[in-house]
Amino acid sequence: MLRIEGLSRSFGGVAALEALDLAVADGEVVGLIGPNGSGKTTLFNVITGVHAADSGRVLLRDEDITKSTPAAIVRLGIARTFQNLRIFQRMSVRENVWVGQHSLPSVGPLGLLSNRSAAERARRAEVDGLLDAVGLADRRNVLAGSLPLPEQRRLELARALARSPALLLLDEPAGGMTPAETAEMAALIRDFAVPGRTCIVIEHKLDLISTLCQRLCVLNFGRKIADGEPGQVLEHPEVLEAYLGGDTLDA
Amino acid sequence: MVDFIQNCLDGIMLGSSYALLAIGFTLIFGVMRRLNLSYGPSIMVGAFIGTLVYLEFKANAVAIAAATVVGAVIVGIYVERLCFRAIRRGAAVASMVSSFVIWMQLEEIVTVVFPDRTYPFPPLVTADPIELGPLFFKVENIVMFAVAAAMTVLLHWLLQHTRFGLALRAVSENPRAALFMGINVGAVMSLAFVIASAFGGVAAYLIVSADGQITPLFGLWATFKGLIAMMLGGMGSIPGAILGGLLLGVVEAQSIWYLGTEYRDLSAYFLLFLFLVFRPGGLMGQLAVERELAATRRV
Repeated sequence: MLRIEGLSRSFGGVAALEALDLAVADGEVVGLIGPNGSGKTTLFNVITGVHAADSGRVLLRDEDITKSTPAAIVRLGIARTFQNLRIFQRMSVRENVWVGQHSLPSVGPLGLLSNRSAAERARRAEVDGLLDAVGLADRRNVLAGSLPLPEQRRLELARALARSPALLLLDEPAGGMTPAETAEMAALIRDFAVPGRTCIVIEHKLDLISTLCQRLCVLNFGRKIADGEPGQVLEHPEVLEAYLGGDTLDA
Repeated sequence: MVDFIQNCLDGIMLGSSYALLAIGFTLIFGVMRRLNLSYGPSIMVGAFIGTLVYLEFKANAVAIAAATVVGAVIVGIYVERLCFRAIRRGAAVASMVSSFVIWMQLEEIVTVVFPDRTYPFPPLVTADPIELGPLFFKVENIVMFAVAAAMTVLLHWLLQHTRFGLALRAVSENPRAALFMGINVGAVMSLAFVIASAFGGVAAYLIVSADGQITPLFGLWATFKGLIAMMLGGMGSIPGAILGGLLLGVVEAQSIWYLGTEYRDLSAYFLLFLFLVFRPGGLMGQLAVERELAATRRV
């Protein structure tokens, strides 16, 4: 599904990603971990076209998307959530998910102005279905900015799913949540977001990562230092060194 | 009391054209977070293109109105390409300064092509005022109000009930997030410019046809009126632009009646001064200003 070849990106002489190789198969759920500043979010930003790569390639289903615009990449089937939430605060919950469908191929130039067509009604029904699935059905007309953080994260997830993406990039989906809220989010991602699609999850909470992912990839200073099954990776000496200076990691 | 009510009604009708000007300003500011100082001169050029169609072809009102709106839109696209698209990211001051330069350029071009001080502009309608009890209504003012109201309803529908409107609101609130929704942010910004210019073109036609004449100074006048109305309502707020325009119209109409015509513009500036001192966020933007102030205090 996704292949990253020799990807490098630096900011003012500091290498955020250095000759990174990563391949993610169809339907695979990969956890991306690493200390702060290790290049995880930069990798998402390069995949989604926010930052241009200095060198290397990003291929989605063998198509080179390295130089594509963010909008074009979304249309190719990649959706993401953000570490720092980027929901539209002054829009209603429902409108936030509605806007997530913007780049659907069925929304042509005329679709931008039609609001009563059968296709548009069907799309809005899909929005309501998504809100129902993430537990925000009764909040659909509330302003998104007024939701508490866990609900805002669920809303962002629903918005990312609105276009039925083939590849879903989740950037700390449980950031700022309590253990109980994290467990709820993990169940939601596992049962609703992940089935049938390829997914890369950045997360510091290892219990969530180990619930979701069959494979872990660890970055440190922009380099991949480990890649494999979670159990093995978390015992890898370089990973222990990068995270805790040598102590054991508790999942 | 009858005079006061009459002035209020006249002011609301006059203010409806200010509201259209302010909507144009605020739409560009809301979407791009930048001020387009050449907005007034752009629509002035549109009105002169309408004048040219009138003088050369003795065209009817519909053709003149269409020429004015199309002219304003074309000049608006020219401004967007030069001052906003070329300088898109993080250079609000550069955009504003370059739009000021384009203002000078447009005025210069018009004064070269139209060297006389004023040119006649045909009225939209010629009919006797309508009398309703003790109140009088000029037909051109009623038409101005009706067209402005229809345009506002159309804009509301566009923004609130269509996907294009949703995309425009998304870009206005968070362009980066809008990009990740697959929205073509550049195209949405350009279309916002086109819509703003069309609103300005309609406002220009209504105002100039009610005046019966046009001068190159109309650009300066339209910029001032539109800016003041936008500031009164709150920058970036469309309901604010409407309220600001109507308030400006009412205050001007009252001051013309009670103080004299020479106080019309002075009263507008005084009203703006009062707002800047006591309610800098305008009628609808005060909450945002207070939030910003609170954030500054926290730091």
